[in-house]
Amino acid sequence: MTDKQNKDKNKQNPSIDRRDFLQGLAATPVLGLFGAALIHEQSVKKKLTKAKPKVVPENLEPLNIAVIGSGAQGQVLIDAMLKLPGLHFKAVCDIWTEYNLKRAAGILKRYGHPVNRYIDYRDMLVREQDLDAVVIASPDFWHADHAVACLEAGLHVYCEKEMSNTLEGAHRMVMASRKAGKLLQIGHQRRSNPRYLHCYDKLIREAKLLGRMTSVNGQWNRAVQPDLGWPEKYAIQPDILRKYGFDSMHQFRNWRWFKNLGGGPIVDLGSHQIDIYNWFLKARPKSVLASGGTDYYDPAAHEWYDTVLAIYEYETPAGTVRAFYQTLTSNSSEGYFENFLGDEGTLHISESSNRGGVYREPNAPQWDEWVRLGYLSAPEKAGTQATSAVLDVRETIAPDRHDIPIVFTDPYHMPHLENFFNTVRGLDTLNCPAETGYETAVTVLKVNEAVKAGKQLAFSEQDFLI
Amino acid sequence: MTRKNRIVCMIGCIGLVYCVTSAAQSLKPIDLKLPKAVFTGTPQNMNVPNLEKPLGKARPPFLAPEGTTNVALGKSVSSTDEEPIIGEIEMITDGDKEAAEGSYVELGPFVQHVTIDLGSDHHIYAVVLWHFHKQPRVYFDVVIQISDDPEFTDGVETIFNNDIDNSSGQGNGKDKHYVETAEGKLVDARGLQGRYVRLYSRGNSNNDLNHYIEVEVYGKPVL
Amino acid sequence: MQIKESQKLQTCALVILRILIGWHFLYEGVAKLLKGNWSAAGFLSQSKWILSPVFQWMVSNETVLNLVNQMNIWGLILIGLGLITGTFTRIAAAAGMALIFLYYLCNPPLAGLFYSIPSEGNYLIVNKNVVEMAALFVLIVFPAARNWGIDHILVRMFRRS
Repeated sequence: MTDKQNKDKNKQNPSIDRRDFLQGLAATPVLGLFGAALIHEQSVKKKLTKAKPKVVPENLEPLNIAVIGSGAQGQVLIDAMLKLPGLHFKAVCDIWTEYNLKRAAGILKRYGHPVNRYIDYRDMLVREQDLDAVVIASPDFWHADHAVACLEAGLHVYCEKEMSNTLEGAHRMVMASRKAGKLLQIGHQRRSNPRYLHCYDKLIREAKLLGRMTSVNGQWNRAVQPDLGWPEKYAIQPDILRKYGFDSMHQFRNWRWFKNLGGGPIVDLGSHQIDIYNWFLKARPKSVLASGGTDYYDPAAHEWYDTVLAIYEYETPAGTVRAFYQTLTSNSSEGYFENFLGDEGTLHISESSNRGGVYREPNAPQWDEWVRLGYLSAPEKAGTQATSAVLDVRETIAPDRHDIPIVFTDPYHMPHLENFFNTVRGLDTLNCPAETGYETAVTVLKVNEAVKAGKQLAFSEQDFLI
Repeated sequence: MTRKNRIVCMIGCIGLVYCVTSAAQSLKPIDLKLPKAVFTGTPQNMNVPNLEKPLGKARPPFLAPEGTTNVALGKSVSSTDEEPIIGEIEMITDGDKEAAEGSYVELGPFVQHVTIDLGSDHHIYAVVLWHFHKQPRVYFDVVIQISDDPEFTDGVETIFNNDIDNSSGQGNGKDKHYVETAEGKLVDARGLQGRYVRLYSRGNSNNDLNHYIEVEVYGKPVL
Repeated sequence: MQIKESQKLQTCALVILRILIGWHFLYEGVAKLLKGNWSAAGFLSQSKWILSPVFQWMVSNETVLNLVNQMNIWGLILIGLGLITGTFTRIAAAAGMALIFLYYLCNPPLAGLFYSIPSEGNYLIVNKNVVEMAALFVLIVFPAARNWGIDHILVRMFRRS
């Protein structure tokens, strides 16, 4: 049809005819196609992002609790507990009365919990008669005495890790818990972290995304830090320090570095993550080989090793798994994470909420079904999160990297404490009971032995049994 | 297009250099001594919106008229929390900026403010503050005001406000949240005149409490 | 007869090109709209080269940033609809070129510039933005909607009055 013909036609017929209309609207059905594609895409996405509503039990039974040890870690736990419903704080016990005790009691008072202050835990247990549970965040070498005394007083106990600095102490704690018939939860808080639970229950156990696990590696590297100081005017009297097992104020503030008091970085940091090795592999190690030393800091004030590299060997039903762990306190490269490696995939996870990912090996079966089920996010392009937007979607890659689709923004220790208190109320079961904490203590404390021995040390099945 | 832009840019640059150099003749960098940087402890779950990106390098020197000093040093401080949880309000102007225990005052939860009385009218060029720098933390609803009125009812100038939803009642702020570091936060006060400096905050990314290690006010007395 | 056949095929190719580009624009816009919290801030703050101060300024000013976000989203959607349905095709194509040109200027793939938002290909000076721009140019200079698009009706109505 030429222009001339068109013009002629217009002259003849001033109205637009049916043919023109059809021709003009010819491309419009594409919009319908677009709409259909969009609706489908949205419905797939919706399935993936559907969040499970958090079940908050109504009319929680109120619990009376006390805290032993209100230093840095005790403070972290108090902050987390203040966000949990149904808790009444009754007492706080700490030997640094002029600082840590004053502060914890002061904070709790502002939140409507007028607490009694104690310097001695025995005194507290005698006077506080209506307690249900005690949360212990004292130095490691006090855990056994504190926990056993509380359990014997008929109280449920949440005790920070490391369970004890000695296996003898940890053993006493398990026995006391069994004898008293009271709960003892050890503070390996990743065990209640919804992201870790999802990885274990869904990705590893159910979907078996990693295939045959062959290796694990993990680390906690931390930057150089000066020793902790204290305000001179608030120093604890020497006789009080001695009574509670410390030579000096310096030792009181830096107990983690001292033998007989703490366990050094492998216990303070490594224990959290090596606990996950045992959990995710569902196994106990057969042997450990380790190297370490006080390479950087002054050995006089840092009795424990500031650098430790350890290799475990696990025997799992699927075969041998070798697991590496390192902790440095002189360099913070890559921070802290755990990596689980199998022949079909890799799980990279860290307590740090912004880190983690699951990677499919090139020859592994497709994961589309797990993505549809919401176990994994679709392979997301970097930078599509709300924080760093992308204007042109084509410009980002879609590698085989999947996110763990669980968002966790609460304080790290909150779900673990919640799990403990709900178990006390009979609504849940402990995620890290005494026996589990004991196994981890056996696993981790052996590293320091192996460093000292300078050779590979074997575990026997008996080591883990009580 | 490109060439034209380059020319425009160049002219702009030359102008800028001229302005800076001519201004620098009467301006001197303020003498700001930073405390030792320490980050320790288990990192906490931080999920803060509207967060400022770290500069990635040292803060450039801040220029102020010659003779500008920290006029807050040793000056009296008052607070909405008269009995701090730990430490004393005087620590805010005691010159100790270290992160250590015993260097900071811990005020009660939720909205609290402190007011520094400079003793007389000052031209104020900058306020530098350290809430807490032992861990990477963000303090919420940081509002800084300058006034001649001890009650802060009249003639109040707000020089910083990151309370984006007015949850602390001092108006909607446009400034960003920032992570505490040993560098502290430097806020340009543009030479405003006043005797009192007031600082608000409403808890932080770790807990609901409010902390101050030090607040410095760089200024000159009004003659 | 043969000429007519090849003309038909040419028209057909143009219409397909128009619809495909339109689809791309429309989805870019709709996807951002549906995301709800989408912002160009990340992309803009990455800006390199001589115009980066302009884009940085857009990010730093909240009002401007909001405006940029809204204009971008609705610009993409309108251009997409225009191209697919063949409505004001030339205007839409020209607007599309301008928009893409801005993206290009914001983050040009020049030697020595590095971006933290990864790219799925390898580009030197020419990237897919430039190619899409050129394709839109083709749509402007050839009658891509004269016969198969709303423009066909519009042209007729316009001529009639």
